[in-house]
Amino acid sequence: MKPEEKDLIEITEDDFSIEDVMTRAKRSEAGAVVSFLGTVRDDEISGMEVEAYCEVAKAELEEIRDEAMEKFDLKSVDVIHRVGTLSVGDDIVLIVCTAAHRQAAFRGCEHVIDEIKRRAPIWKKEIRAEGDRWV
Amino acid sequence: MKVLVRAFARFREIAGKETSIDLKEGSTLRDLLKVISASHPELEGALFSSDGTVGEGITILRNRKGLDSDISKTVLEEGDEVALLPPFSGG
Repeated sequence: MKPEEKDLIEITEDDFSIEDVMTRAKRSEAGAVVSFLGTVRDDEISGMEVEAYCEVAKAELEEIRDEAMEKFDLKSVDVIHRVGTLSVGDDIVLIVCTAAHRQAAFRGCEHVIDEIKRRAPIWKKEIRAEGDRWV
Repeated sequence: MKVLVRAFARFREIAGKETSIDLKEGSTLRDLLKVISASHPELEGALFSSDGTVGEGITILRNRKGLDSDISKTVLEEGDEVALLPPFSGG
């Protein structure tokens, strides 16, 4: 438990350890840790490319984090979004929210992923045998 | 004056990742988009609706910020960065 550490907001080509992020997020004032993990679904694709306008996307993720912290009284919000070439089953995005109680953590986590999908300049392209397709 | 255009995802595949465009002083964002579309005709159809407005879900940023006015009223300046963003699909 290191409450003095800043929340993680990252856009990265690297894979991440869910356990590390969850463990890092735990803190004494939070009784709930809720995570959302988005993965590459097997929709008869061979892979996925993820692209971001990194500078703007990171700033937008930070703004979404700040809004969610205030709106849901969260203790922390961590977001890691991957870019680059991914395979079926790979992790795309991880969100970890902590709060005093579970309701706030669940609602906060849902809010964060919904806002990322709506506001963050990030794109996914499905790699298919019959031709690639931007989602 | 020179303006840097950055395009992402589908727009990047049409127009390239980064292009420096020379424009007359006082040119607007619409002028810039006309110049780029002339070099990449497919981009015009991808960016604009049939009524000439920017297509639904498409975002155009100037210096990493959203626009306060329409593209015909946005006067560009030397060194501006204009980003063309198709509808987002992250998460």
